[in-house]
Amino acid sequence: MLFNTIDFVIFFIFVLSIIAIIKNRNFQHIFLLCVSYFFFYFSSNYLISLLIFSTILDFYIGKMIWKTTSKQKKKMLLIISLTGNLGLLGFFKYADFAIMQFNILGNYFDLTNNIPLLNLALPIGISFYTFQTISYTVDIYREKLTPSKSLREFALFVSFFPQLVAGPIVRASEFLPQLREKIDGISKLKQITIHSNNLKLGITIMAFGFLKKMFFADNIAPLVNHVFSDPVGLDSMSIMLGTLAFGIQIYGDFSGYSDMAIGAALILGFKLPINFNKPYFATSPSDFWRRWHISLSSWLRDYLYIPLGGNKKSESRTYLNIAVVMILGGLWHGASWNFVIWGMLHGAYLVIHKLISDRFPSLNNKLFFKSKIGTLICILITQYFVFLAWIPFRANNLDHTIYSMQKFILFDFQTNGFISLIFQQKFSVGLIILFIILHIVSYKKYNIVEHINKLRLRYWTMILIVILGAVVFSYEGNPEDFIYFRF
Amino acid sequence: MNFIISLSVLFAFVTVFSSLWILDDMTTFGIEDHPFFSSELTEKPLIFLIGSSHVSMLNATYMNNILSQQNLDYTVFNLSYDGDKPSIRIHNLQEIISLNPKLVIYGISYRDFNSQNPDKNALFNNVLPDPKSLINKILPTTKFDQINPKRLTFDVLTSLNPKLSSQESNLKIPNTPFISFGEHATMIFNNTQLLKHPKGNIPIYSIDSSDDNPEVKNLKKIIQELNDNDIPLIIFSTPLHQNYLKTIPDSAKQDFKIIVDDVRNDYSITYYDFSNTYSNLDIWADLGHISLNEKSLVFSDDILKIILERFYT
Repeated sequence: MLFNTIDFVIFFIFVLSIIAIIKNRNFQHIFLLCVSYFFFYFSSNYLISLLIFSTILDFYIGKMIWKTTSKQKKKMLLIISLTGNLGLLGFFKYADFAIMQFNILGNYFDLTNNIPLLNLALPIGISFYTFQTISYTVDIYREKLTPSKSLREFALFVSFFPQLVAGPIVRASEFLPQLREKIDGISKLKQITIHSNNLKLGITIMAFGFLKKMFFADNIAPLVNHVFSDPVGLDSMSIMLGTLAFGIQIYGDFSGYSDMAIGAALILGFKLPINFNKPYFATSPSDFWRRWHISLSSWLRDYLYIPLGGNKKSESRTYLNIAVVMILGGLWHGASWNFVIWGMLHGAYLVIHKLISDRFPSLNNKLFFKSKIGTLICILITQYFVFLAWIPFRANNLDHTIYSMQKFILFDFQTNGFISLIFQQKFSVGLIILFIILHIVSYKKYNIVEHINKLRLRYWTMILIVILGAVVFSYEGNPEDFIYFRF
Repeated sequence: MNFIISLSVLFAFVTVFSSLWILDDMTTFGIEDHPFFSSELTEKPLIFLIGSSHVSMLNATYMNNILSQQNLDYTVFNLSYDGDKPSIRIHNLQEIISLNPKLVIYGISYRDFNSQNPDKNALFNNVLPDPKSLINKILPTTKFDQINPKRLTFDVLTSLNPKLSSQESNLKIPNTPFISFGEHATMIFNNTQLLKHPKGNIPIYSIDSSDDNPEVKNLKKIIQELNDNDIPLIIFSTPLHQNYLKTIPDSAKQDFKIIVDDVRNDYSITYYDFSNTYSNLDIWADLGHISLNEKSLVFSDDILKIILERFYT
């Protein structure tokens, strides 16, 4: 079920109404679990069985890891959990990709028989919920987390509908405690109450999510599609505009989804971690990854980078770890070489940045880099490389990628095609300009959502009307998928 | 407090959607309101070509010239327009009937019956019941389902300031009142160019051939209504490029055939299949539209043959 459909609006109003009317804690939790499963079943049908399998597997393995005292047995159980989850992910997401590579290799060695592709449908949200369940068992193994008290609570953690299909990737340690409260010193299931503060703030956050996704991302998409359907022959300015547009589109699309998820969860009284923190104001590659898809980058740090040794081993090993993590992070987005290239580029940025920081530590303390102009220069340089990396992420094939990246790097000073592109795509170009202005305003006024939320109800309603008006009057009549659903 | 916040949200929704409703009523004039239907037409008997932009590529001027050369005293009007399908065409059917045409030739295609909300994971639906289709059956179709708010906004903005229009659709063809063409429509692109710029192919996912599909229901109503008024009707499937045809699932082709066979049997309609006739010729402006070029007149010629055959026999 897409957030940007009337189906979701009806579904969400129904859920809120039932939660508000029936106060029984047990009922509320079971109801929330059932509607979460329905939400998933609505778009994934029988593939809900994978979600249930992953839930049951990790709940019982988590319990067993906790109970057993033998280190070896703990390790064995963890391996079973990882094999189960990564096996699911690998089979459904990467099997066909692997077969294709194998066939290409086979053709190279003149092997005539190709292995037929499995043509599997990618189960929606599998990359997100498997990462959540993996973090649960790993945290229990590391003794950082006690197992969930009941299967019902664990199932709700895995399937909680606002974040189920496209994150943020929530840790059990962040979510499970929110399902309980202490009354007279006794831990009980939490009463789910819709507080007016949460309701108002949640709606504001959701409204901004809808604005980012439906007003900005969906209406900038035609320009992106125009440029990247066949970029060969376009001038540098057009490629740069298309790349800028895609950077805004993917940010609006994904952070918009995260906002809707965070807002919907907040209305129900649950706090989900923020997933984006103005990533296009990052001043370095590492700063970018502290601001972009935070729940994934912190997951990769805690469950991949650190187990690989992090920065605790040799210098060269640290660089290798960074590169491996970023390549796998790229591959997480999809079984395709373009995501690998995107990950490699970001890995290279992080390694080079770390190399410079390590070799010239005094640079960090230079007053120039702390001044406004220094910060601005750092932002521009960082974003130049971030946007360069968006090209392989979006381009349709390797030829398009190479051509577009060449034009992005080697500026050709042609303007004819660019001017006609602007005239053809006036609306999208106008939205890009508006987005940049609003982005700068939001950077200066640190939390614009909080600011609007604190307005008196009549002014708040007016802003809601403006946002809703922008969304509705620019809607084309067919809800667009979220890009991250594909991952 | 929750109640007041909910009321505020409801107020915002009502304000925005009622504005959309009012604006749509004020600014959107259906084809049925077009001055064509109230203007004085020729006294010659009329032949109407109806359908979507696929049909727009039939050159009414050329067809009228040939008809007059053959001393056939008829005038062809091409009443096609962008995005037409049976559920839209039915709204101006009475106006068409009121002009008492001697023949109506209706071009239909897969796109006319395409599923509204394509399920990209349609594979899933074969295993467990699909709640979406159940909900679609329960929920009534509202006026909002028909509105394209973005187009409405652009229409209002461009009526205020024509410079805002990015459309280059300024070529008008006589006797083709409801559509204007851009330069692109008159050009011919070869197969390689069409592969590089795959335009004009609305993706076809699946077709519901049952009467639950409002398009099927409305197609039957249109045929019945024309029958009741003794207006002869010929149906043809519009031509498509081979690259487009390749993308259409076999199941959708089969369901389209079921629809066509159904109406042929139920109403004794003459039907011509042009979907594959020119699929590999170099006459295409894009994957769904034959070019409005003098080198692409074969399509108009073939429809002319049908007309001539009709009136000479």
